[in-house]
Amino acid sequence: MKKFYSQAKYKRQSVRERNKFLRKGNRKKKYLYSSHPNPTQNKNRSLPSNKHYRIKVPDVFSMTKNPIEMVDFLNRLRIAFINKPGVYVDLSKTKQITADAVTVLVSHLRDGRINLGKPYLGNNPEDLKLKHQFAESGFYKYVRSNELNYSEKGNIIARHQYKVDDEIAKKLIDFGTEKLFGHYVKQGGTYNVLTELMNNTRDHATGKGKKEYKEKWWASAHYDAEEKKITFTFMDNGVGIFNSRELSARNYVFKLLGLSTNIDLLKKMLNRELPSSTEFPYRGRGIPSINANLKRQQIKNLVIISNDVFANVDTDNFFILKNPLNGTFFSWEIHK
Amino acid sequence: MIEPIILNVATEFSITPDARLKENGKSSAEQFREGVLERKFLLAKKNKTTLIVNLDGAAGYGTSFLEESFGGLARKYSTDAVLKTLQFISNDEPYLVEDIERYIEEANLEFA
Repeated sequence: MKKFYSQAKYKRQSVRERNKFLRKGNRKKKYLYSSHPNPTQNKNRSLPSNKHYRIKVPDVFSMTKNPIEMVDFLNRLRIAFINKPGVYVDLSKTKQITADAVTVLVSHLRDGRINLGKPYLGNNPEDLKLKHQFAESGFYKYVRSNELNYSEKGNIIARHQYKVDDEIAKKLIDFGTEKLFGHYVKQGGTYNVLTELMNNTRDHATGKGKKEYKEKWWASAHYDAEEKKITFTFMDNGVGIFNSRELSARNYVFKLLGLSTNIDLLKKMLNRELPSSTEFPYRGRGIPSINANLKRQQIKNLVIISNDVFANVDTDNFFILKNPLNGTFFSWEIHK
Repeated sequence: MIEPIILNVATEFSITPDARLKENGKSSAEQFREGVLERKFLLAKKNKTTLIVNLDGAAGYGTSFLEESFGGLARKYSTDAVLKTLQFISNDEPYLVEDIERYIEEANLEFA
């Protein structure tokens, strides 16, 4: 005799009961945004699947203020996409958000190597001020959303590109200075930083021997009316600064013996004490020039996070991250 | 006495110079050097006059762009020839002049 559950009669009953449950509206919409349309995944977009893995963001959602928990969150996000059929990003209990974290979240959610084509959903912060801030960040430009009233008053996030895009660099500076000063003000320092980072992503982010894949970058500018500053963020999900270069025999041995760390390497790079990772001795000036922009006060509060290094170069605060970041993150500010 | 030749980067090439190499951007240093700078440099050299490069008016300059433009010129025509022929105006960012002169001087360095 066939088992009851495999009988057509059971299946019909099961479908009837499920439809009855759905009509009652017992399952309320708890998501506010979802992944970009992907016809191969999650055809039923009207309700979150109970198979979505809920992942809570850190209370302080900020790369510059809370790097350890943020990098841990990003790594857990990657693992969730690998192991689960979908991901639900929970921002409801967030207590603080900075624009750099929003840019990084977008860069991860929109990276096919990270989301693996799987669906993702998410919600807003419950706090009204943070909800408003999140809506103004430009996040909703990059995800499907039920929120129709979002705006980009405070921020833009540039499209990802894999070349040096002079127009995006100028657009970000135009946006930032219009907000901050009321008109365009030349920012040679920021222009140098943006174009050098784009160059570096193009030349180095794929790592050695993988030039056929062009790594993408994300860049944003965020206007903070209270603190009267513009925060620029740049992110790529490449191999990171320290995995993109070969060490000299001496530096390799020192690192192996624990006599030096990537912090020492970064400090040397900032002061142009390390040769270029290319074969050309006249190169390797990108990161030193960014440091020079900082010393000239053309930019402020420069933060670099790459692989296992966190560096606030402005305050000389460097430390090793237990969980490394897969990629390269830069953030800096201009003040009125 | 022959008048110096003027080259205004922002109006004669681009207000948004970007990458080092042609394949990396629309307004690259390679395009600038091969399309604009070299021609005027050779003309100035032939006429035994100065080429004055005005850097003002652009949105900014990446280090890679400046190094490839002027360092690249020195790698082709020698550091002395370039330093003797070129002068720079940069009122927007005066430190660029010193930076560029250093790129020209170090253009032909080899690894130790």
